[in-house]
Amino acid sequence: MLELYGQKFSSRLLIGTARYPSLPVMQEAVKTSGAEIVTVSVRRENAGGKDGDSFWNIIRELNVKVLPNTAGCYSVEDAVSTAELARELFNTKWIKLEVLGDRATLQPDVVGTLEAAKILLADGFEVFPYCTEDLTVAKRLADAGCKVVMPWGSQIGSGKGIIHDEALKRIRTELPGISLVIDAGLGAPSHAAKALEMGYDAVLLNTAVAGSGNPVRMAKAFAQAIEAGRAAFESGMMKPREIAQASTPVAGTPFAKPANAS
Amino acid sequence: MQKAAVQNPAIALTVNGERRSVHARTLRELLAELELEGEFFAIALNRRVVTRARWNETSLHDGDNVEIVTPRQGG
Repeated sequence: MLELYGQKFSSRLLIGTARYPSLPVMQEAVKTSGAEIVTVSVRRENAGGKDGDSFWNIIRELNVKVLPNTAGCYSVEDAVSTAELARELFNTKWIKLEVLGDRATLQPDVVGTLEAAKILLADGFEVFPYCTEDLTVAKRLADAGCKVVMPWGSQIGSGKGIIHDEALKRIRTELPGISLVIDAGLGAPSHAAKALEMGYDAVLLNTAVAGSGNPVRMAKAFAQAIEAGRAAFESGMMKPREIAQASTPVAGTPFAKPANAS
Repeated sequence: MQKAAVQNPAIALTVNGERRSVHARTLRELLAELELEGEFFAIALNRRVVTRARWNETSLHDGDNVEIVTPRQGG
């Protein structure tokens, strides 16, 4: 079971709610994915608040846990204020903390992220920080009290998959007690399977499903890949070898000459 | 209350980043004046969250900054 701040979940997929062709497709994709947690945002009201209402009604029908984000925040102050609004709006202590540092790569400002995490943790939030593959940053976030740490696989929305294997494996080894989630950059179900095979506890993705040709089918594909990856990790994968090793028994091979024949 | 709000002289607020001239004197009156019909809002007044229970009693003053947010799609 996946454990996040003391709550247990059977699905290891956290799925975003943005960028789908329509709200009904989003709803169907989330259902098909089996995800028990969805990410949402807070935005300035428009259309008299009706847009927010129709979206929120669909989310409530899904009966899933909501993880609000601070997407688009480039300062500690904005991220903290947005988190406070999210707590009021969604009535949850959970916050996916994003403090971005660069508009082209959407790379997290890891210094700002740590600072904001400390403020929010002290204020009673349960913080899910989006960070890079930097080991020290991940450790500092865990030391600060984050029970979940979410390094990127690659840039948000890039679909490049996991491009920092060694660094991410190191974080897994060094933080055995922390729930680790690969957040951002995944494009194919095989990328998600790889994250789970590496021992990561879960993945968070959005565009890979929402932006695919068939989001509902793709949601299922990701669910299957995640299940496979986790089963592989729990089973203990074989160690790669330098040279071949026959899988079929050698003894009794027809026509073989005895080993001592010359 | 609605009538009293209309009779108030206008004050200048920044609402969701836009300068607006309003007659409302409380957050509740502001929602009515802006004709916000949705139910799911959170409001920050000068960056501080004001819980729903305090919208009726929370006063607005000239120059205040109000953010009104709703749930939206996110990744």
